[in-house]
This record gives sequence, structure tokens and C-alpha cells, in this order.
Amino acid sequence: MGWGRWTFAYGFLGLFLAYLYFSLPRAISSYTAAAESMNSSLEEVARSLGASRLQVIRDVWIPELAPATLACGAIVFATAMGAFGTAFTLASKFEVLPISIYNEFTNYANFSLAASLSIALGLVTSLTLALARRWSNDPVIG
Amino acid sequence: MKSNIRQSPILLLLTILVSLFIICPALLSITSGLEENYSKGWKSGFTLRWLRDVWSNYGNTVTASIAIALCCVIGNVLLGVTGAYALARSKSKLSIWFEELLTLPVAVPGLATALALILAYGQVREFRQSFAFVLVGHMIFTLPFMVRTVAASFRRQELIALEEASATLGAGFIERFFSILVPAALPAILSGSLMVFTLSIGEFNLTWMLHTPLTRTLPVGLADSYASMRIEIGSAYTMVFFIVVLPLLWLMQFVASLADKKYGT
Repeated sequence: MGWGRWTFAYGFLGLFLAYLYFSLPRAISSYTAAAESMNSSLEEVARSLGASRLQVIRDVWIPELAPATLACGAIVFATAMGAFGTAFTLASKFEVLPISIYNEFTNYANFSLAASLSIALGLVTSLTLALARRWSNDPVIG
Repeated sequence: MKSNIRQSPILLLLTILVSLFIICPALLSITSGLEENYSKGWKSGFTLRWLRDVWSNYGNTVTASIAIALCCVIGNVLLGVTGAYALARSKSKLSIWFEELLTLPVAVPGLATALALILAYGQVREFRQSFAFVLVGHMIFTLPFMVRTVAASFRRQELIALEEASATLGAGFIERFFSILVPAALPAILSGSLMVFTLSIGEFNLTWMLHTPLTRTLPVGLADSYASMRIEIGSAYTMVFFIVVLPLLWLMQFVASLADKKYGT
């Protein structure tokens, strides 16, 4: 419970774990939905033809879940880029872009810099999602 | 996926580890809100003092959050359902662009949206300082979820056929809308409402920028308590959050599943 634990929580690793923590449920639920709609006969055929567990994962699971991976990856990336609350409570040593925007706006009243930084942030996240949508033809991605 | 293949022990272990990773911090947070002294752990004894502190300092954020979330749902039903119908039936190219624009606040981080709102309306004093400002932010953020869910339902081929059939039988727009479209899209409207409610009540990124000391919501108060009070109070606040939000969500899910059984396809 000493100082070490706190510096851990406020550093890069802590921030990473926190981001992982809030993204995981979303990723798990998208993968669950994708896995439920997976065609189980493909896997059964692969097994009956003698494929090992690793081969099934490599040749059946991963390709079948690829659209979900792309869609979910893009969403997780975009939300993590723009996540403010987590970084706001944790980050002190490690400044992420949303924190810079917040600081420029509230602490330095530098409205135009804050606005241009938000446009940059918005461009990165919406481009990521647009690209993922184009590649996967999945209308679900925002 | 249903298959009778034996589960791999590695996958089982991974599942357990991930579950622990998700559950432990939440449990820890709840218990530390009940402990007399967080740094001494549970040996210091348990107390409800922190919960009472939260209630007296931040009790009004609970009602504010629920009220905003409900208003947000109502606004979404009014604007979102009609908007979804317009988009679903529009043949214009512009409607595609409009839908893209509408979904922009999902792709653009809430912080940026909030900044834009403040730069645009910050000068309008009464609006800026009222809960309406927070509500507008929540509406902008949640509307695309409602519109897309409901529009997908309105676009179903059999619904278009039904609507055309009733139109040829002489039903006017109002009659078609309320006696055919709305009942058919009710499961979508309900699941959209549920999503809107959940998003609104937990929204922080936007709200933190939009709030004033007099217009605080649950998540804003939570962040405030973590920043300015004892950690036990922050943890107790997390518990209040669970106590308030979970039953509401369960109730809404229950209602939605009931409606889905009755009207679902």
C-alpha cells in the first residue's frame, strides 16, 4: 500500500491497464456476438479431418472472427484515443491528447489551440472508424 | 457457438483470469467504501458513514442524473424516431450525408464535442448554467444510437410493404405511423431507449466539460469526490452508483425483453 503502488497506477502501465479495463467488456461482448453467429460446422469439419486445436484456431476461428476483430479493434482504438475520464483521474506523469486539450482549454484558456487539437483528435478517430467500416462493410461501426 | 468439443484448459484459465481482472477492482472499490479506514483495510471496521457523507454532499446528483437520462430518452424518442423514419424513407443522396454527420459525435471524442458546444453557446449565460446545456450534450451524443437502431428497423422490407398496403387502403400518414410503424419498431425503440439511458447516465467525457458547480451529474460528482475527498468517500460513491444504476438497468432490460416477446419478430 506504499508509494510504489500509486506511482504504478499513475504511470504508463497503470494507464494502460485502466484503458484495458474499460475496453474489455465491449470487446468481449462483440466477440461473444460474433462467436455465437459463427458456423460451428466449419470447426467440426476441421476437427473431423484431424486438425489440431492450434490449427482450428489459426484456420477457422481467427478468419471467421476477422470482421469482428477489425470492427471492434477500430472502436476500441477510437474510444481509447478519446477517453478522457480515465486519463483525467489517473494520468499525472503521462499526458495523453485529451488531457492536453483539457489543460489548454481550462488552465490556459487557449481556446484556438484546444479547438485545433480536438479537430486533430476527431479526425484520427473518425478516419479510423471510416476506414474500418469501408474494409469490413459493416454498418455497425460508427 | 454450440459444439460438443471439450473445452481447452488454457481457455478456461484465461477466462477465469479475465473475469478476476474485471471483477476484483469493482469489489475492492465497493468494500473500501465501507471500511472505516482504507489504508488500514477491513481490520479498521466497517461503517456506513461514508455512504451518508456521499448522500449529504452529492445526493442531488443522483436525481439530476436520472432526470437528465429520462429527458434524454424522451427527447430521443421524439426526435430520433421521427428522424429515423425520415432517413429510412428518404431517397435523397443528402440523407446519407446527413446520417454520416449525425453519427459524427460517436466517432469524435466527447471532449471535442463538448468544446464545440461551449465555444458555440458559452456566451448564452442562462443556457450555459442550466441542466439543459448538459442535456443538449447528452442528446447530441446519444441521438445517433437511437436513430440508427430505429432506422434499421424501419428499413425492413416487410414493413415497407405493410406501410404501402395500408396507404392503398386509405390510411393517412398519422394513422400509418402510429398503428403500423411504431408498434413494428417498438422493440428497436425500446432497445434504443435502454442504450440511450445507459449512455446518458454514465456519460463523463462530455459532461465534465459542460457541467457547472450547480449542474453536476452522478459521474461528475464521482470524479469530484475522488479528486477532492477521502478515497473512502469516492469508493462509497461508486457503491451508490451501482445501487442506483443497476436496478434501473435491470428493470429497463426486463421491460424491453417483455416487449420483445410481445411485439418482437
